[in-house]
Amino acid sequence: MSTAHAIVEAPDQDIAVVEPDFEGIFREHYRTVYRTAYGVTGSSQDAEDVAQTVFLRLLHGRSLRDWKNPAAYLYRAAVNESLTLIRARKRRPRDHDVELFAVPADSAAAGSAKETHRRLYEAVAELGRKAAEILILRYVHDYSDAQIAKLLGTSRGTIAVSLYRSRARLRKFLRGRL
Amino acid sequence: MTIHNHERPDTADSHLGLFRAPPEEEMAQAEERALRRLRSEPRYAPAPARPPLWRMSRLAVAGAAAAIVFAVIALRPPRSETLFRVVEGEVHQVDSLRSDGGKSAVLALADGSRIEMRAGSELSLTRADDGLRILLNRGDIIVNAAKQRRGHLYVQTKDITVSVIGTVFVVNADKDGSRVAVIEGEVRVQQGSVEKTLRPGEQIATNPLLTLESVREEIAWSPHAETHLALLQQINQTPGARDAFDVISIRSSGKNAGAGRGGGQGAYSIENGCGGLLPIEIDPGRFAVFGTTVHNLIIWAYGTGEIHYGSCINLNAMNFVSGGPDWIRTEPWDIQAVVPARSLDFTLDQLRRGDLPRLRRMIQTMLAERFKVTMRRETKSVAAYSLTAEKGAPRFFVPDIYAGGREDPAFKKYVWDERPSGARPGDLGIIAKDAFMSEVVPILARRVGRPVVDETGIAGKVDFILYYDWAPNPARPSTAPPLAKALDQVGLKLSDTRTVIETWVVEKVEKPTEN
Repeated sequence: MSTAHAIVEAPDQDIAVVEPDFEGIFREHYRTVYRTAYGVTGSSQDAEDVAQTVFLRLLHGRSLRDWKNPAAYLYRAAVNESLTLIRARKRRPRDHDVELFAVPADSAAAGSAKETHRRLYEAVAELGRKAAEILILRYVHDYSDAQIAKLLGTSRGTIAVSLYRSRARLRKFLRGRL
Repeated sequence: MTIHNHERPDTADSHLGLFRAPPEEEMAQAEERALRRLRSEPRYAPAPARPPLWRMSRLAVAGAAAAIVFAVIALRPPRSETLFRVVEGEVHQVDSLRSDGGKSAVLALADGSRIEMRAGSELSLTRADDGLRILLNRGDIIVNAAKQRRGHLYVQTKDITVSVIGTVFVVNADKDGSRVAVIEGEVRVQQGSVEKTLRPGEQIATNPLLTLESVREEIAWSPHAETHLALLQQINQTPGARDAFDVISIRSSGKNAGAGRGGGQGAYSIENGCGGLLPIEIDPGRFAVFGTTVHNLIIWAYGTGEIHYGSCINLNAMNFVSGGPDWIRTEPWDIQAVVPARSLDFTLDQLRRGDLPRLRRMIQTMLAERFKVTMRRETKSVAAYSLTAEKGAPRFFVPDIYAGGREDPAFKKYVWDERPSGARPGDLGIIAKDAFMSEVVPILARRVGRPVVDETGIAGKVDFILYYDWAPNPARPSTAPPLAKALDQVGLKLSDTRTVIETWVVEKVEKPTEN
């Protein structure tokens, strides 16, 4: 994926400088970031929250000129932020009023599916960050080993091993909770 | 969704197939919302298409903007509202406000600002179209200006106007002229056509004959002088100078639960609702906590405003401090430290409010040196609630449990969390008596575990009672309604929104060497 750039007139100088176009980058990558966050958290609200945080941090914290691979940076940031959110939520006592604004309880079947998803997301949160990054690329974005290796700058073998181990860990984790 | 393996599908694989794709429409709406918010950020770089006249027309644009602002101001109807409340001391109001009770007094303004008046001072408050104006006729005031969301706070004497956006400063109005000194932030002082900007520790006199005292002497009359000075010292801290405890003992609570406890004479104990095993002990010579996590210490050290000793859980939920390994939130520590002689001076009330900047810096130093803590500030967009009001809100609705209404014994303080006698566990009240919404909103935010954005537009003082079931449980039915319903009873409503907040992130932390 290429980095979007734009010619911007420097307001106080009579020269033109090349700046990365933040809005172009936003448009190019927002949905990937959102889908990633949704894949990890399973919630539209959380996905929006994560995506907003990732782009805000990008806007405030990094020099756009330095970007070699914004797709990888944004993807990793989305996974990390989502995992942080899930882990923080696990630590947080669930006795606060936020719950009061939730929609009424689902039917038993929907509740069961919801519980299954919740367990899945918690299981993913138990993985290391790198392993989670690879897992989400495979199962949320449907990337092949080769595509993941290219995006994350590593070998196909590393990806295959990571996926094998992640599946084994998830199996163990989920069985313990079924 | 394709599962890329050739193993027999089992639990993990079947669950992996459950990763869901987001609804396209929701994602598209979220994208547009996100872009709108990012465009409002000061650092946002606009899209490349920029009109060629952009540079030349900046003055014209500024002029047009000024005209629009002027038009809006001119058309805005005048407001009729209460502008202040006396929270300390006595103030007499005739044409102006006078602190002539022989002691200083403190006024709380609707926006959260505080004005400390020296005994014998006189001022009046007027609502200007672009903010609030304090007309200081005589005496001294220390202004702790809340961050102004709209407009400015002005302090005007006969010969100067001081304008601020959010800071702490002192103004003296004498018959021969005026003096201004800044403790925190920045103020603009205008005298005639001359404008000067003052920064912390700087001061100015309008008349060369006036003696300029040091800032310490300027504010010596204030009962809160030590707090103001600590703030100033924090800002002006030289690289060599630091606030630190003299001797520190740190032990894991598991090995040493509660050992060595026993505060000196005059020690304050505060019930620690933030995970500690025993009350916090703080006195001018000693700081001691038992069974407290590093995360809580970080919240106390780096938090702003009140230290919510009893509400850390809610602060955690609001995620003002994030990052760091799990043990900082789970492992308890016993810490006893000697406070350097004469370095702390505070009242119990200041302690409760967390109005102890120097103690906060001492805890910061301890965290940095013994736990190797490094922190980083971060701007985050977070889920929040927007608080809106119906016309005529808030209504004075009387829940059954407060049968006395305005005469009920519970209806006695300004703003407080409360649990009425006879309440079922989990039912709570919030009392607002003669209070500003700026005082109510932080309590509400802690209760709901999210920032609350006040969009009620209520500028004056309010009276209302909320009584609600904060942990609905079908096994223990309650007569109190959920919070949303309780708010509805008084004409208020919380709805989902997002806001940007400043937070702290723990970048690095290590377990200390115990001693």
